[in-house]
Amino acid sequence: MNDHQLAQGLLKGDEAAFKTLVETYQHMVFNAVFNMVQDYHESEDVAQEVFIQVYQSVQSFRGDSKLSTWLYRIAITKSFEWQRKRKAKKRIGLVKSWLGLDHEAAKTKTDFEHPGISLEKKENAAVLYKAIDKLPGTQKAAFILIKADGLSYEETAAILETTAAAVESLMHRAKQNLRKILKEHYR
Amino acid sequence: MEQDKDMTEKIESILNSLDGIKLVDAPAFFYTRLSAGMENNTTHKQAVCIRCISKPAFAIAILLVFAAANGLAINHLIKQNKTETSSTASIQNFTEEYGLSTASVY
Repeated sequence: MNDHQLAQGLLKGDEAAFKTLVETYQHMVFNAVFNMVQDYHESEDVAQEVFIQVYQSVQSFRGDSKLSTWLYRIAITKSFEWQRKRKAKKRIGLVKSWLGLDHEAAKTKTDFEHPGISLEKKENAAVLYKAIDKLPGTQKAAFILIKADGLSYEETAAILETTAAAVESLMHRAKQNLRKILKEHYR
Repeated sequence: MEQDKDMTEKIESILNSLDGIKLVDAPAFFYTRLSAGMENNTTHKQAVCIRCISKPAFAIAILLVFAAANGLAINHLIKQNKTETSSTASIQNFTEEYGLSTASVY
C-alpha cells in the first residue's frame, strides 16, 4: 500500500489502512518523539497521541507532501505540546514543594540515556541531550531531525515548512548555542 | 591556551556524539495499546458527558436558561402589543382630526 492508497483508506475510515499506517511508521514516529521528549514511557504516550491526531484529522492531509513529512510534523508539534505541559507541571510542582505540599516535585530529572548510542559516546550524548533541551523550539527540532533522526536539510525544511537555507541557518545557530551552553556546563 | 583547545575539542566531540545513533524500536504491541487507548478515550469522553448531564447543577442551569428565554419572549410580546396599540391609536386620532374617518364621509 503506497502513501496515496493509505491516505485514501484513512479518509474512508478503513481500520486496516490505519493499522498498516501505524505498523509502517510507528518506529519513525516513536524515534522522532523519543529524541524530543527524552523519556521512554512518556514517548509512547506522545507517539500514541500522534496517531490519534492522524486518525482524527486525516481530512487535513492534502497529499502535497509525503505522508512521513506530515507524520513528522504532527510528532514535532505533539512533542512541543508535551514540553509545554511538562514545564507547567514543573512550575506547579515547585510552588507545591515551596509550600511543603509535594516533596516529589522538587526532584530533578535524571540524565537521558539513548539506548541507540554506543557505550563510549553515552556520557557525551547525555550531556548533549541536556543541552539540546535548553535550545529554542525550532532550533531543537532542526538539530534533532538532522542529527538524531538522520534527515536531510530538504526533508527537515519540508517538515518545518521552511526553506533548506533557513534550516541551515537554524542548525548554525543551534550549534552556536549548544557550544555556549556546554562551555557554561564545564566552567 | 592549551586548556581552551582541550575544551573546544571536548565540546566538538560532545556535539558529534549523536553520529552513528541507532534507531530505537517502538514498544512492543504498540498498535494493540493504541487501539485500546483510542477505545478507552471514546468511552471516557462518553462517560464524562453522561456524568455532566446527570448532575443537578446542569439540570438547574438548563431550567434557568429556559426560564430566561421564556421571560425574554414574553417581554418581547408585551412590548410588541404596546407599540401596536399606540400606533393604531395615533392613526385613529389623525383620521378624526382631518375628518378622514369613514363615518364622516357618509
